[in-house]
Amino acid sequence: MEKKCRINFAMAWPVMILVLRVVIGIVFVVAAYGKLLHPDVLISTVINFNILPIGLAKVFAEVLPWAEMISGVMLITGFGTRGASLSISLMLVSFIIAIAINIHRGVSMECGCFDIFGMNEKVGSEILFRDTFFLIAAIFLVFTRDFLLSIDNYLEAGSK
Amino acid sequence: MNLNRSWKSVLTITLAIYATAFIVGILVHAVMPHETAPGRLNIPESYVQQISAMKTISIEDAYSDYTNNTAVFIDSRDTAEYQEGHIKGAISIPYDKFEQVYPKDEKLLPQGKKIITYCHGTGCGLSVDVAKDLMKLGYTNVYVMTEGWPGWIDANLPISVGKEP
Repeated sequence: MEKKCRINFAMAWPVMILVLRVVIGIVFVVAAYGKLLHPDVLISTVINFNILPIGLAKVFAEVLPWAEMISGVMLITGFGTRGASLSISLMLVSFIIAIAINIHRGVSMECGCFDIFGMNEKVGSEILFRDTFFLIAAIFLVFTRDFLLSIDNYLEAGSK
Repeated sequence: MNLNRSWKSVLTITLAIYATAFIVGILVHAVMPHETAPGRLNIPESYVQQISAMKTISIEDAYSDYTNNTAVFIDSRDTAEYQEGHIKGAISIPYDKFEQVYPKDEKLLPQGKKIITYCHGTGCGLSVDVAKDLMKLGYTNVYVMTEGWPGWIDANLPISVGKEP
């Protein structure tokens, strides 16, 4: 008997959301880990972006990696997924604005995005596109209700 | 309304994330004793002021100064690394031997000329240390080439091997 291979779209959709969720989560955890390892590099990067006053730049540099780490872990585990996605979206908006301003200024500088790999990424349109892609994906997750293999789903099932 | 309640909970979670990150960030900054501990920002205000005042330069701009002969390059890595390869014409002033080496090279660093320090690239603070030492001596035209030696090599720009600049 001949078997036809069909894609089960009803199943593919939640799996795609799961992949998106975990990938963004991992990206943020990795980015946060690199920043936590090199706090001095992070603060000089934030100051070099030349957007926040020094006092505020220091606070931003202290808080940002932890916000990235917490949001990333929550996204991976699917706990408070929509809230974590909104948190990531807001961070991405701040990155995109900062990068766009410096591209407009014509400044050549380090992005400081993934210090863990020793990547010397320069602020430029490639990073702007990448962050915009992640922003669209994160906003999509904010409006998503059902998350496969998530703590949210488990808790919801338990409360019914 | 259900929808409103759902969005309220989303906003609450987001705010809780930022509040937790703020508390953890401030606590780590205040409590953890090791300079290298995760998230530790043991940076005195004076250093922050210096970093913000410190000028950085890209490989492209540095190379433009190189071709116009308007800058002196300083290699702040150790002597062995300098001898393995350095920017052609760069002077070796290892970060930890500044006080011994600088007096010999002082004449090579005229106050009016741009001075560009470099080391192992992003994350390497040796070039910043040497730049700070020079700024303490009154040099104002000091730049840190943050992409450092790896950036110069990647761009296929002129290098030299051995003891001589």
